[in-house]
Amino acid sequence: MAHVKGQARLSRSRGGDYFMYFIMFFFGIIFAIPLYYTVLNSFKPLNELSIFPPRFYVVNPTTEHYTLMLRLLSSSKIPFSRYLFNTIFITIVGTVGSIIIASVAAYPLAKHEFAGKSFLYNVIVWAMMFSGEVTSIPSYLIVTGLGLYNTYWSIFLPNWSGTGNVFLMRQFMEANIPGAVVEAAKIDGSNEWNIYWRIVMPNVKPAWLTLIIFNFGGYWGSGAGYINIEEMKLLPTAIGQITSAGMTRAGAGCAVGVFMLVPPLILFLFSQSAIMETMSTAGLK
Amino acid sequence: MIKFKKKKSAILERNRPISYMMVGPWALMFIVFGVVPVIAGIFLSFTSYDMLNTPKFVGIDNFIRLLIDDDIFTIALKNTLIMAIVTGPLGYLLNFVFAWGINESPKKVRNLLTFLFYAPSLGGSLVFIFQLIFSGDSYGLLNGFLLEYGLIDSPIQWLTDKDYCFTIVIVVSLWLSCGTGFLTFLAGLQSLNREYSEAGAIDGIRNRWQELFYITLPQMRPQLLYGAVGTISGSFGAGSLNAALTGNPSTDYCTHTISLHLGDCAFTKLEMGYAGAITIVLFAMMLTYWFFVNKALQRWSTD
Repeated sequence: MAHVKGQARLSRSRGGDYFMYFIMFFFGIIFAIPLYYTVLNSFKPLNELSIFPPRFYVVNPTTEHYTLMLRLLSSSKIPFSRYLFNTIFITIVGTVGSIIIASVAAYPLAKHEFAGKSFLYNVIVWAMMFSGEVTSIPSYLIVTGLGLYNTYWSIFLPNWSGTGNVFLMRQFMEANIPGAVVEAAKIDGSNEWNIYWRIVMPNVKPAWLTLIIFNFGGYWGSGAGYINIEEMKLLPTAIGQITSAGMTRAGAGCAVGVFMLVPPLILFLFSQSAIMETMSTAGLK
Repeated sequence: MIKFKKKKSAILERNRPISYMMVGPWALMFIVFGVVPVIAGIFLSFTSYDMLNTPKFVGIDNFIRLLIDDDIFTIALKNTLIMAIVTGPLGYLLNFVFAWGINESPKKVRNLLTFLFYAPSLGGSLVFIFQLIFSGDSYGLLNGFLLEYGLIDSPIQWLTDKDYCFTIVIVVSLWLSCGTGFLTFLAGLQSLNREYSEAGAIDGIRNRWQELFYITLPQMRPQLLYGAVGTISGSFGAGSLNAALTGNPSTDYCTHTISLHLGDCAFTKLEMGYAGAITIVLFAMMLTYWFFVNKALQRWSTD
Protein backbone atom coordinates (compact mmCIF):
# COMPACT_ATOMS: atom_id res chain seq x y z
CA MET A 1 0.00 0.00 0.00
CA ALA A 2 1.21 3.46 -0.80
CA HIS A 3 1.64 5.08 2.54
CA VAL A 4 2.21 8.78 2.58
CA LYS A 5 5.79 9.56 3.37
CA GLY A 6 6.64 12.08 6.04
CA GLN A 7 8.01 14.62 3.61
CA ALA A 8 7.09 18.30 3.68
CA ARG A 9 3.86 18.72 1.81
CA LEU A 10 3.05 21.33 -0.76
CA SER A 11 0.06 23.58 -0.16
CA ARG A 12 0.17 23.27 3.63
CA SER A 13 0.41 26.34 5.83
CA ARG A 14 1.81 26.33 9.35
CA GLY A 15 -1.29 27.98 10.77
CA GLY A 16 -3.52 25.43 9.09
CA ASP A 17 -1.42 22.63 10.52
CA TYR A 18 -1.80 23.96 14.04
CA PHE A 19 -5.52 24.47 13.56
CA MET A 20 -5.88 20.83 12.44
CA TYR A 21 -3.81 19.56 15.33
CA PHE A 22 -5.92 21.54 17.75
CA ILE A 23 -9.17 20.12 16.34
CA MET A 24 -7.85 16.56 16.36
CA PHE A 25 -6.44 16.92 19.86
CA PHE A 26 -9.74 18.33 21.13
CA PHE A 27 -11.87 15.56 19.64
CA GLY A 28 -9.29 12.94 20.51
CA ILE A 29 -9.72 13.87 24.17
CA ILE A 30 -13.50 13.79 23.92
CA PHE A 31 -13.40 10.36 22.32
CA ALA A 32 -11.00 9.10 24.95
CA ILE A 33 -13.27 10.14 27.84
CA PRO A 34 -15.56 7.10 27.97
CA LEU A 35 -12.64 4.68 27.69
CA TYR A 36 -10.51 6.53 30.22
CA TYR A 37 -13.41 6.96 32.63
CA THR A 38 -14.24 3.24 32.47
CA VAL A 39 -10.69 2.19 33.23
CA LEU A 40 -10.35 4.87 35.91
CA ASN A 41 -13.58 3.98 37.71
CA SER A 42 -12.70 0.31 37.70
CA PHE A 43 -9.69 1.16 39.93
CA LYS A 44 -11.43 3.67 42.21
CA PRO A 45 -12.27 2.51 45.73
CA LEU A 46 -15.92 2.89 46.67
CA ASN A 47 -15.47 6.10 48.68
CA GLU A 48 -13.79 7.78 45.73
CA LEU A 49 -16.54 6.67 43.36
CA SER A 50 -19.11 8.53 45.41
CA ILE A 51 -17.23 11.80 45.78
CA PHE A 52 -18.83 14.99 44.54
CA PRO A 53 -17.78 16.30 42.10
CA PRO A 54 -16.59 13.16 40.28
CA ARG A 55 -12.82 13.05 39.98
CA PHE A 56 -10.79 12.51 36.84
CA TYR A 57 -8.01 10.77 38.70
CA VAL A 58 -7.70 8.15 41.42
CA VAL A 59 -5.92 8.61 44.77
CA ASN A 60 -5.85 5.07 46.15
CA PRO A 61 -6.16 2.66 43.25
CA THR A 62 -7.64 -0.70 44.15
CA THR A 63 -8.34 -3.97 42.38
CA GLU A 64 -11.27 -4.78 44.67
CA HIS A 65 -13.81 -4.36 41.85
CA TYR A 66 -12.06 -7.01 39.79
CA THR A 67 -12.14 -9.48 42.67
CA LEU A 68 -15.75 -8.49 43.38
CA MET A 69 -16.57 -9.09 39.72
CA LEU A 70 -15.13 -12.59 39.87
CA ARG A 71 -16.84 -13.33 43.17
CA LEU A 72 -20.22 -12.06 41.96
CA LEU A 73 -19.96 -13.99 38.78
CA SER A 74 -18.99 -17.25 40.42
CA SER A 75 -21.67 -16.97 43.10
CA SER A 76 -24.49 -16.68 40.59
CA LYS A 77 -26.72 -19.66 39.82
CA ILE A 78 -24.64 -20.63 36.84
CA PRO A 79 -20.87 -20.25 37.16
CA PHE A 80 -19.20 -17.42 35.31
CA SER A 81 -16.91 -19.89 33.56
CA ARG A 82 -19.96 -21.29 31.79
CA TYR A 83 -20.92 -17.93 30.22
CA LEU A 84 -17.28 -17.27 29.37
CA PHE A 85 -16.90 -20.68 27.74
CA ASN A 86 -20.12 -20.17 25.74
CA THR A 87 -18.98 -16.79 24.49
CA ILE A 88 -15.50 -18.04 23.57
CA PHE A 89 -17.07 -21.00 21.78
CA ILE A 90 -19.48 -18.98 19.66
CA THR A 91 -16.81 -16.34 19.00
CA ILE A 92 -14.35 -18.87 17.60
CA VAL A 93 -16.80 -21.04 15.66
CA GLY A 94 -18.74 -18.01 14.45
CA THR A 95 -15.68 -16.08 13.29
CA VAL A 96 -14.02 -19.03 11.54
CA GLY A 97 -17.32 -19.95 9.88
CA SER A 98 -17.92 -16.38 8.74
CA ILE A 99 -14.51 -16.11 7.14
CA ILE A 100 -14.55 -19.47 5.38
CA ILE A 101 -18.07 -19.09 4.02
CA ALA A 102 -17.50 -15.51 2.94
CA SER A 103 -14.16 -16.16 1.26
CA VAL A 104 -15.32 -19.29 -0.59
CA ALA A 105 -18.22 -17.28 -1.99
CA ALA A 106 -16.11 -14.19 -2.65
CA TYR A 107 -13.49 -15.99 -4.77
CA PRO A 108 -15.75 -16.85 -7.74
CA LEU A 109 -17.46 -13.47 -7.40
CA ALA A 110 -14.09 -11.78 -7.82
CA LYS A 111 -12.27 -14.06 -10.25
CA HIS A 112 -14.72 -16.28 -12.15
CA GLU A 113 -17.09 -15.47 -14.99
CA PHE A 114 -20.58 -16.83 -14.62
CA ALA A 115 -24.14 -15.84 -15.39
CA GLY A 116 -25.73 -13.97 -12.52
CA LYS A 117 -22.43 -12.69 -11.14
CA SER A 118 -23.13 -9.00 -11.48
CA PHE A 119 -26.69 -9.53 -10.31
CA LEU A 120 -25.37 -11.18 -7.14
CA TYR A 121 -22.92 -8.34 -6.62
CA ASN A 122 -25.73 -5.79 -6.81
CA VAL A 123 -27.85 -7.82 -4.42
CA ILE A 124 -24.97 -7.88 -1.94
CA VAL A 125 -24.56 -4.12 -2.09
CA TRP A 126 -28.29 -3.54 -1.65
CA ALA A 127 -28.53 -5.95 1.22
CA MET A 128 -25.72 -4.25 3.13
CA MET A 129 -28.10 -1.39 3.70
CA PHE A 130 -30.62 -3.46 5.58
CA SER A 131 -29.39 -4.08 9.06
CA GLY A 132 -30.65 -7.10 10.97
CA GLU A 133 -33.05 -4.99 13.04
CA VAL A 134 -35.14 -4.24 10.00
CA THR A 135 -35.97 -7.84 9.18
CA SER A 136 -35.98 -9.01 12.78
CA ILE A 137 -39.67 -9.98 12.77
CA PRO A 138 -39.75 -12.32 9.76
CA SER A 139 -36.27 -13.60 10.72
CA TYR A 140 -37.64 -14.57 14.08
CA LEU A 141 -40.41 -16.55 12.40
CA ILE A 142 -37.86 -18.31 10.20
CA VAL A 143 -35.53 -19.16 13.08
CA THR A 144 -38.40 -20.66 15.06
CA GLY A 145 -39.88 -22.28 11.95
CA LEU A 146 -36.62 -24.09 11.23
CA GLY A 147 -36.44 -25.29 14.83
CA LEU A 148 -33.32 -23.25 15.55
CA TYR A 149 -34.72 -21.60 18.65
CA ASN A 150 -32.49 -22.35 21.64
CA THR A 151 -29.58 -23.52 19.51
CA TYR A 152 -26.40 -21.67 18.62
CA TRP A 153 -27.35 -22.08 14.94
CA SER A 154 -29.72 -19.18 15.57
CA ILE A 155 -26.64 -17.01 16.10
CA PHE A 156 -24.38 -18.56 13.45
CA LEU A 157 -26.63 -18.90 10.41
CA PRO A 158 -28.04 -15.35 10.30
CA ASN A 159 -24.50 -13.98 10.77
CA TRP A 160 -22.97 -16.26 8.15
CA SER A 161 -25.63 -15.25 5.67
CA GLY A 162 -24.57 -11.60 5.98
CA THR A 163 -23.34 -9.73 2.93
CA GLY A 164 -20.78 -7.38 4.50
CA ASN A 165 -18.10 -10.06 4.85
CA VAL A 166 -18.56 -11.34 1.31
CA PHE A 167 -18.39 -7.80 0.00
CA LEU A 168 -15.12 -6.90 1.74
CA MET A 169 -13.50 -10.19 0.71
CA ARG A 170 -14.59 -9.84 -2.88
CA GLN A 171 -13.34 -6.26 -3.17
CA PHE A 172 -9.98 -7.19 -1.73
CA MET A 173 -9.56 -10.27 -3.93
CA GLU A 174 -10.57 -8.31 -7.02
CA ALA A 175 -7.85 -5.73 -6.32
CA ASN A 176 -5.08 -8.00 -5.06
CA ILE A 177 -5.20 -11.32 -6.90
CA PRO A 178 -3.97 -10.91 -10.46
CA GLY A 179 -6.01 -12.94 -12.92
CA ALA A 180 -2.77 -14.20 -14.48
CA VAL A 181 -1.80 -16.01 -11.28
CA VAL A 182 -5.12 -17.85 -11.15
CA GLU A 183 -4.81 -18.77 -14.82
CA ALA A 184 -1.26 -20.00 -14.41
CA ALA A 185 -2.36 -22.28 -11.59
CA LYS A 186 -5.14 -23.62 -13.79
CA ILE A 187 -2.69 -24.41 -16.57
CA ASP A 188 -0.63 -26.32 -14.01
CA GLY A 189 -3.71 -28.41 -13.36
CA SER A 190 -4.76 -27.17 -9.93
CA ASN A 191 -8.44 -27.52 -9.19
CA GLU A 192 -10.46 -24.57 -7.94
CA TRP A 193 -10.46 -25.61 -4.28
CA ASN A 194 -6.69 -25.86 -4.41
CA ILE A 195 -6.39 -22.45 -6.00
CA TYR A 196 -8.70 -21.02 -3.36
CA TRP A 197 -6.79 -22.56 -0.47
CA ARG A 198 -3.18 -22.35 -1.70
CA ILE A 199 -3.13 -19.22 -3.81
CA VAL A 200 -6.06 -16.97 -2.99
CA MET A 201 -6.27 -17.33 0.78
CA PRO A 202 -2.57 -16.78 1.56
CA ASN A 203 -2.71 -13.62 -0.55
CA VAL A 204 -5.69 -12.06 1.18
CA LYS A 205 -4.40 -12.25 4.74
CA PRO A 206 -5.16 -8.57 5.42
CA ALA A 207 -8.77 -9.21 4.46
CA TRP A 208 -9.23 -12.13 6.80
CA LEU A 209 -7.53 -10.30 9.64
CA THR A 210 -10.00 -7.48 9.07
CA LEU A 211 -12.94 -9.85 9.08
CA ILE A 212 -11.59 -11.46 12.25
CA ILE A 213 -11.69 -8.08 13.99
CA PHE A 214 -15.13 -7.10 12.75
CA ASN A 215 -16.67 -10.49 13.45
CA PHE A 216 -14.87 -11.10 16.71
CA GLY A 217 -16.25 -7.84 18.12
CA GLY A 218 -19.75 -8.80 17.02
CA TYR A 219 -19.77 -12.31 18.48
CA TRP A 220 -17.90 -11.34 21.64
CA GLY A 221 -20.50 -8.72 22.53
CA SER A 222 -23.41 -10.75 21.17
CA GLY A 223 -26.41 -11.21 23.44
CA ALA A 224 -28.31 -14.48 23.22
CA GLY A 225 -31.20 -13.24 21.08
CA TYR A 226 -32.96 -16.52 20.31
CA ILE A 227 -31.66 -18.49 23.28
CA ASN A 228 -33.69 -18.89 26.40
CA ILE A 229 -31.77 -21.60 28.24
CA GLU A 230 -29.70 -20.13 31.05
CA GLU A 231 -26.79 -22.57 30.62
CA MET A 232 -26.44 -21.51 26.99
CA LYS A 233 -26.52 -17.76 27.54
CA LEU A 234 -23.54 -15.55 26.86
CA LEU A 235 -21.23 -13.18 28.67
CA PRO A 236 -23.28 -9.98 28.18
CA THR A 237 -26.16 -11.64 30.04
CA ALA A 238 -23.96 -12.35 33.04
CA ILE A 239 -22.59 -8.85 32.87
CA GLY A 240 -26.04 -7.31 32.64
CA GLN A 241 -26.82 -8.90 36.01
CA ILE A 242 -23.91 -7.04 37.58
CA THR A 243 -24.40 -3.65 35.99
CA SER A 244 -28.16 -3.63 36.57
CA ALA A 245 -27.51 -3.03 40.30
CA GLY A 246 -26.67 0.61 39.52
CA MET A 247 -24.47 2.98 41.49
CA THR A 248 -23.44 0.55 44.24
CA ARG A 249 -21.92 -1.70 41.59
CA ALA A 250 -20.54 1.10 39.44
CA GLY A 251 -16.95 0.01 40.10
CA ALA A 252 -17.63 -3.64 39.36
CA GLY A 253 -19.57 -2.59 36.28
CA CYS A 254 -16.54 -0.71 35.00
CA ALA A 255 -14.27 -3.67 35.76
CA VAL A 256 -16.59 -5.77 33.63
CA GLY A 257 -16.51 -3.12 30.91
CA VAL A 258 -12.72 -3.25 30.86
CA PHE A 259 -12.80 -7.03 30.76
CA MET A 260 -15.13 -6.96 27.74
CA LEU A 261 -13.19 -4.25 25.92
CA VAL A 262 -9.67 -5.57 26.21
CA PRO A 263 -9.77 -8.58 23.82
CA PRO A 264 -11.22 -6.78 20.78
CA LEU A 265 -9.02 -3.73 21.38
CA ILE A 266 -5.85 -5.81 21.56
CA LEU A 267 -6.81 -7.60 18.36
CA PHE A 268 -7.44 -4.25 16.71
CA LEU A 269 -4.09 -2.81 17.78
CA PHE A 270 -2.24 -5.78 16.32
CA SER A 271 -3.99 -5.77 12.99
CA GLN A 272 -4.49 -2.08 12.36
CA SER A 273 -2.33 -1.95 9.24
CA ALA A 274 -4.00 -5.03 7.75
CA ILE A 275 -7.38 -3.41 8.31
CA MET A 276 -6.26 -0.24 6.58
CA GLU A 277 -5.08 -2.26 3.61
CA THR A 278 -8.39 -4.11 3.36
CA MET A 279 -10.61 -1.10 3.80
CA SER A 280 -8.78 0.78 1.05
CA THR A 281 -10.43 -1.63 -1.41
CA ALA A 282 -13.86 -1.42 0.22
CA GLY A 283 -15.28 1.30 -2.02
CA LEU A 284 -18.45 1.01 -4.07
CA LYS A 285 -18.02 1.73 -7.75
CA MET B 1 -9.03 1.82 -7.15
CA ILE B 2 -7.17 -0.72 -9.15
CA LYS B 3 -9.18 -2.13 -12.00
CA PHE B 4 -8.21 -5.29 -13.79
CA LYS B 5 -9.44 -5.56 -17.33
CA LYS B 6 -11.71 -8.52 -17.91
CA LYS B 7 -9.87 -10.82 -20.24
CA LYS B 8 -11.80 -13.24 -22.37
CA SER B 9 -9.31 -16.08 -22.31
CA ALA B 10 -9.79 -19.67 -23.25
CA ILE B 11 -8.72 -20.80 -19.81
CA LEU B 12 -11.10 -18.56 -17.93
CA GLU B 13 -14.20 -20.47 -18.96
CA ARG B 14 -17.63 -19.16 -18.19
CA ASN B 15 -20.50 -20.67 -16.25
CA ARG B 16 -18.72 -23.63 -14.73
CA PRO B 17 -20.58 -25.58 -12.01
CA ILE B 18 -17.67 -25.00 -9.61
CA SER B 19 -18.40 -21.27 -9.49
CA TYR B 20 -21.97 -21.92 -8.42
CA MET B 21 -20.85 -24.59 -5.95
CA MET B 22 -18.58 -22.12 -4.22
CA VAL B 23 -21.11 -19.32 -4.03
CA GLY B 24 -23.82 -21.83 -3.15
CA PRO B 25 -23.53 -22.31 0.62
CA TRP B 26 -23.50 -18.62 1.32
CA ALA B 27 -26.20 -17.87 -1.27
CA LEU B 28 -28.48 -20.51 0.23
CA MET B 29 -28.13 -19.04 3.71
CA PHE B 30 -28.62 -15.57 2.33
CA ILE B 31 -31.85 -16.61 0.63
CA VAL B 32 -33.17 -18.23 3.81
CA PHE B 33 -32.17 -15.49 6.25
CA GLY B 34 -32.00 -12.47 3.96
CA VAL B 35 -34.47 -12.81 1.09
CA VAL B 36 -37.24 -14.95 2.58
CA PRO B 37 -37.69 -12.60 5.57
CA VAL B 38 -38.28 -9.69 3.22
CA ILE B 39 -40.84 -11.62 1.18
CA ALA B 40 -42.43 -12.96 4.34
CA GLY B 41 -42.59 -9.40 5.68
CA ILE B 42 -44.45 -8.22 2.59
CA PHE B 43 -46.88 -11.12 2.87
CA LEU B 44 -47.38 -10.62 6.62
CA SER B 45 -48.08 -6.93 6.24
CA PHE B 46 -51.43 -7.70 4.60
CA THR B 47 -52.52 -10.10 7.31
CA SER B 48 -53.46 -10.24 10.94
CA TYR B 49 -51.27 -12.82 12.63
CA ASP B 50 -50.70 -13.53 16.33
CA MET B 51 -48.41 -16.58 15.92
CA LEU B 52 -51.09 -18.91 17.29
CA ASN B 53 -53.85 -18.79 14.69
CA THR B 54 -53.28 -18.91 10.95
CA PRO B 55 -52.68 -15.50 9.34
CA LYS B 56 -55.89 -13.81 8.22
CA PHE B 57 -55.89 -11.58 5.13
CA VAL B 58 -56.91 -8.04 6.03
CA GLY B 59 -55.88 -6.04 2.95
CA ILE B 60 -54.27 -2.71 3.67
CA ASP B 61 -55.85 -2.33 7.14
CA ASN B 62 -52.45 -2.50 8.83
CA PHE B 63 -51.10 0.36 6.76
CA ILE B 64 -54.20 2.50 7.35
CA ARG B 65 -53.97 1.93 11.08
CA LEU B 66 -50.26 2.70 11.01
CA LEU B 67 -50.65 6.03 9.27
CA ILE B 68 -53.85 7.20 10.92
CA ASP B 69 -54.34 5.58 14.30
CA ASP B 70 -50.94 4.93 15.78
CA ASP B 71 -49.68 7.96 17.72
CA ILE B 72 -46.61 6.12 19.01
CA PHE B 73 -45.64 5.26 15.46
CA THR B 74 -45.78 8.96 14.61
CA ILE B 75 -43.29 9.71 17.39
CA ALA B 76 -41.11 6.79 16.32
CA LEU B 77 -41.26 7.97 12.71
CA LYS B 78 -40.24 11.49 13.68
CA ASN B 79 -37.31 10.23 15.78
CA THR B 80 -36.16 7.81 13.10
CA LEU B 81 -36.25 10.60 10.52
CA ILE B 82 -34.19 12.82 12.83
CA MET B 83 -31.72 9.96 13.22
CA ALA B 84 -31.60 9.50 9.43
CA ILE B 85 -31.56 13.12 8.31
CA VAL B 86 -29.60 14.81 11.10
CA THR B 87 -27.63 12.27 13.15
CA GLY B 88 -26.67 10.00 10.25
CA PRO B 89 -25.24 12.70 7.95
CA LEU B 90 -23.64 14.52 10.89
CA GLY B 91 -21.90 11.33 12.02
CA TYR B 92 -20.88 10.65 8.41
CA LEU B 93 -19.41 14.13 8.13
CA LEU B 94 -17.57 13.81 11.45
CA ASN B 95 -16.22 10.41 10.34
CA PHE B 96 -14.79 12.00 7.24
CA VAL B 97 -13.39 15.03 9.05
CA PHE B 98 -11.70 12.82 11.64
CA ALA B 99 -10.28 10.48 8.99
CA TRP B 100 -9.02 13.45 7.00
CA GLY B 101 -7.59 15.08 10.13
CA ILE B 102 -5.75 11.88 11.03
CA ASN B 103 -4.36 11.70 7.53
CA GLU B 104 -3.13 15.30 7.85
CA SER B 105 -1.51 14.58 11.24
CA PRO B 106 2.11 13.58 11.74
CA LYS B 107 2.68 9.89 11.12
CA LYS B 108 3.69 9.25 14.73
CA VAL B 109 0.28 10.00 16.18
CA ARG B 110 -1.89 8.52 13.41
CA ASN B 111 -2.21 5.07 14.91
CA LEU B 112 -2.99 6.49 18.34
CA LEU B 113 -5.68 8.80 16.97
CA THR B 114 -7.22 6.00 14.89
CA PHE B 115 -7.36 3.85 17.99
CA LEU B 116 -8.97 6.61 20.07
CA PHE B 117 -11.70 7.32 17.55
CA TYR B 118 -12.44 3.70 16.66
CA ALA B 119 -12.29 2.18 20.15
CA PRO B 120 -15.66 3.45 21.47
CA SER B 121 -17.53 1.81 18.60
CA LEU B 122 -15.71 -1.49 19.16
CA GLY B 123 -16.89 -1.79 22.74
CA GLY B 124 -20.64 -2.24 22.74
CA SER B 125 -20.41 -2.69 26.49
CA LEU B 126 -19.43 0.96 26.89
CA VAL B 127 -23.11 1.91 27.07
CA PHE B 128 -22.81 1.41 30.81
CA ILE B 129 -20.23 4.18 31.12
CA PHE B 130 -22.49 6.61 29.29
CA GLN B 131 -25.14 5.89 31.88
CA LEU B 132 -22.61 6.95 34.52
CA ILE B 133 -21.55 10.04 32.60
CA PHE B 134 -25.13 11.20 32.05
CA SER B 135 -26.47 9.85 35.33
CA GLY B 136 -29.33 11.91 36.76
CA ASP B 137 -27.85 12.33 40.25
CA SER B 138 -24.98 14.60 41.21
CA TYR B 139 -22.50 11.69 40.87
CA GLY B 140 -23.00 11.74 37.13
CA LEU B 141 -19.96 13.19 35.41
CA LEU B 142 -21.86 15.84 33.44
CA ASN B 143 -24.08 16.90 36.35
CA GLY B 144 -21.07 16.97 38.67
CA PHE B 145 -19.18 19.17 36.26
CA LEU B 146 -22.06 21.57 35.65
CA LEU B 147 -22.91 21.81 39.37
CA GLU B 148 -19.30 22.38 40.33
CA TYR B 149 -18.99 25.33 37.99
CA GLY B 150 -22.38 26.70 38.99
CA LEU B 151 -23.91 26.31 35.53
CA ILE B 152 -26.94 24.51 36.95
CA ASP B 153 -28.49 24.53 40.43
CA SER B 154 -29.84 21.02 40.63
CA PRO B 155 -28.97 17.79 38.81
CA ILE B 156 -30.68 17.24 35.48
CA GLN B 157 -32.27 13.87 34.68
CA TRP B 158 -30.48 13.63 31.34
CA LEU B 159 -31.77 10.18 30.48
CA THR B 160 -35.37 10.42 31.68
CA ASP B 161 -36.27 14.08 31.16
CA LYS B 162 -38.05 14.24 27.83
CA ASP B 163 -36.46 17.60 27.01
CA TYR B 164 -32.99 16.11 27.08
CA CYS B 165 -33.02 12.36 26.55
CA PHE B 166 -33.20 12.31 22.76
CA THR B 167 -30.37 14.84 22.51
CA ILE B 168 -28.24 12.67 24.77
CA VAL B 169 -28.99 9.62 22.62
CA ILE B 170 -27.89 11.59 19.55
CA VAL B 171 -24.69 12.73 21.26
CA VAL B 172 -23.83 9.20 22.36
CA SER B 173 -24.55 7.74 18.94
CA LEU B 174 -22.16 10.29 17.43
CA TRP B 175 -19.62 9.21 20.02
CA LEU B 176 -20.01 5.63 18.85
CA SER B 177 -20.22 6.46 15.15
CA CYS B 178 -16.60 5.99 14.10
CA GLY B 179 -16.91 2.41 12.88
CA THR B 180 -16.24 0.73 9.55
CA GLY B 181 -17.17 3.85 7.57
CA PHE B 182 -14.52 5.83 9.39
CA LEU B 183 -11.90 3.12 8.76
CA THR B 184 -12.86 3.01 5.09
CA PHE B 185 -12.44 6.78 4.70
CA LEU B 186 -9.09 6.63 6.45
CA ALA B 187 -7.88 3.74 4.32
CA GLY B 188 -9.13 5.48 1.19
CA LEU B 189 -7.27 8.67 2.08
CA GLN B 190 -4.08 6.75 2.75
CA SER B 191 -4.15 5.02 -0.60
CA LEU B 192 -4.93 8.09 -2.71
CA ASN B 193 -2.68 8.82 -5.61
CA ARG B 194 -0.21 11.40 -4.29
CA GLU B 195 0.75 12.50 -7.78
CA TYR B 196 -2.60 14.20 -8.20
CA SER B 197 -2.10 16.45 -5.22
CA GLU B 198 1.44 17.27 -6.29
CA ALA B 199 0.27 18.07 -9.81
CA GLY B 200 -2.53 20.10 -8.27
CA ALA B 201 -0.09 22.11 -6.16
CA ILE B 202 1.83 22.98 -9.30
CA ASP B 203 -1.39 23.89 -11.11
CA GLY B 204 -2.37 26.40 -8.48
CA ILE B 205 -4.04 24.55 -5.61
CA ARG B 206 -3.07 26.93 -2.83
CA ASN B 207 -4.15 25.27 0.39
CA ARG B 208 -5.39 22.07 1.97
CA TRP B 209 -9.05 23.08 1.66
CA GLN B 210 -8.80 23.50 -2.09
CA GLU B 211 -6.93 20.23 -2.32
CA LEU B 212 -9.66 18.56 -0.28
CA PHE B 213 -12.48 19.80 -2.51
CA TYR B 214 -10.88 19.65 -5.93
CA ILE B 215 -8.56 16.68 -5.65
CA THR B 216 -9.22 14.46 -2.66
CA LEU B 217 -13.02 14.24 -2.49
CA PRO B 218 -13.59 13.52 -6.18
CA GLN B 219 -11.30 10.49 -5.85
CA MET B 220 -13.11 9.25 -2.78
CA ARG B 221 -16.48 8.45 -4.29
CA PRO B 222 -16.25 4.66 -3.84
CA GLN B 223 -15.43 5.00 -0.15
CA LEU B 224 -18.02 7.74 0.35
CA LEU B 225 -20.71 5.50 -1.14
CA TYR B 226 -19.67 2.55 1.00
CA GLY B 227 -19.75 4.75 4.10
CA ALA B 228 -23.20 6.04 3.13
CA VAL B 229 -24.56 2.49 2.94
CA GLY B 230 -23.39 1.82 6.49
CA THR B 231 -24.76 5.11 7.75
CA ILE B 232 -28.18 4.45 6.25
CA SER B 233 -28.35 0.97 7.69
CA GLY B 234 -27.24 2.28 11.08
CA SER B 235 -29.56 5.26 11.34
CA PHE B 236 -32.73 3.56 10.09
CA GLY B 237 -32.07 0.53 12.27
CA ALA B 238 -31.28 2.68 15.34
CA GLY B 239 -32.98 1.66 18.54
CA SER B 240 -30.93 -0.66 20.69
CA LEU B 241 -28.71 2.16 21.96
CA ASN B 242 -31.78 4.29 22.69
CA ALA B 243 -33.32 1.45 24.69
CA ALA B 244 -30.10 0.73 26.58
CA LEU B 245 -29.62 4.37 27.57
CA THR B 246 -33.11 5.63 28.23
CA GLY B 247 -35.08 2.44 28.77
CA ASN B 248 -37.79 0.92 26.62
CA PRO B 249 -40.24 2.52 26.54
CA SER B 250 -38.53 5.81 27.35
CA THR B 251 -40.33 8.69 29.08
CA ASP B 252 -43.27 9.63 26.83
CA TYR B 253 -41.59 7.55 24.11
CA CYS B 254 -39.17 10.46 23.62
CA THR B 255 -36.39 8.28 22.16
CA HIS B 256 -38.67 5.67 20.54
CA THR B 257 -37.72 4.63 17.01
CA ILE B 258 -39.41 2.58 14.31
CA SER B 259 -37.10 -0.32 15.00
CA LEU B 260 -38.13 -0.34 18.69
CA HIS B 261 -41.81 0.03 17.78
CA LEU B 262 -41.41 -2.95 15.48
CA GLY B 263 -40.10 -5.05 18.35
CA ASP B 264 -42.91 -3.93 20.67
CA CYS B 265 -45.65 -4.77 18.23
CA ALA B 266 -44.18 -8.13 17.33
CA PHE B 267 -42.88 -9.52 20.59
CA THR B 268 -44.92 -7.73 23.27
CA LYS B 269 -48.28 -7.44 21.53
CA LEU B 270 -47.78 -10.42 19.19
CA GLU B 271 -49.12 -8.45 16.23
CA MET B 272 -46.90 -9.94 13.55
CA GLY B 273 -48.95 -8.65 10.63
CA TYR B 274 -48.87 -5.12 11.94
CA ALA B 275 -45.13 -5.41 12.60
CA GLY B 276 -44.75 -6.63 9.02
CA ALA B 277 -46.43 -3.46 7.78
CA ILE B 278 -43.99 -1.37 9.85
CA THR B 279 -41.12 -3.33 8.30
CA ILE B 280 -42.35 -2.51 4.82
CA VAL B 281 -42.67 1.19 5.61
CA LEU B 282 -39.15 1.22 7.03
CA PHE B 283 -37.89 -0.55 3.91
CA ALA B 284 -39.55 1.92 1.59
CA MET B 285 -38.04 4.81 3.54
CA MET B 286 -34.54 3.35 3.31
CA LEU B 287 -34.80 2.73 -0.41
CA THR B 288 -36.05 6.24 -1.10
CA TYR B 289 -33.31 7.70 1.03
CA TRP B 290 -30.62 5.61 -0.68
CA PHE B 291 -31.94 6.71 -4.06
CA PHE B 292 -31.40 10.37 -3.19
CA VAL B 293 -28.06 9.86 -1.46
CA ASN B 294 -26.73 7.90 -4.41
CA LYS B 295 -27.98 10.56 -6.85
CA ALA B 296 -26.42 13.34 -4.80
CA LEU B 297 -23.04 11.67 -4.41
CA GLN B 298 -22.96 10.74 -8.07
CA ARG B 299 -23.73 14.23 -9.31
CA TRP B 300 -21.34 15.93 -6.93
CA SER B 301 -18.25 13.83 -7.52
CA THR B 302 -17.94 12.50 -11.01
CA ASP B 303 -14.74 10.76 -11.89
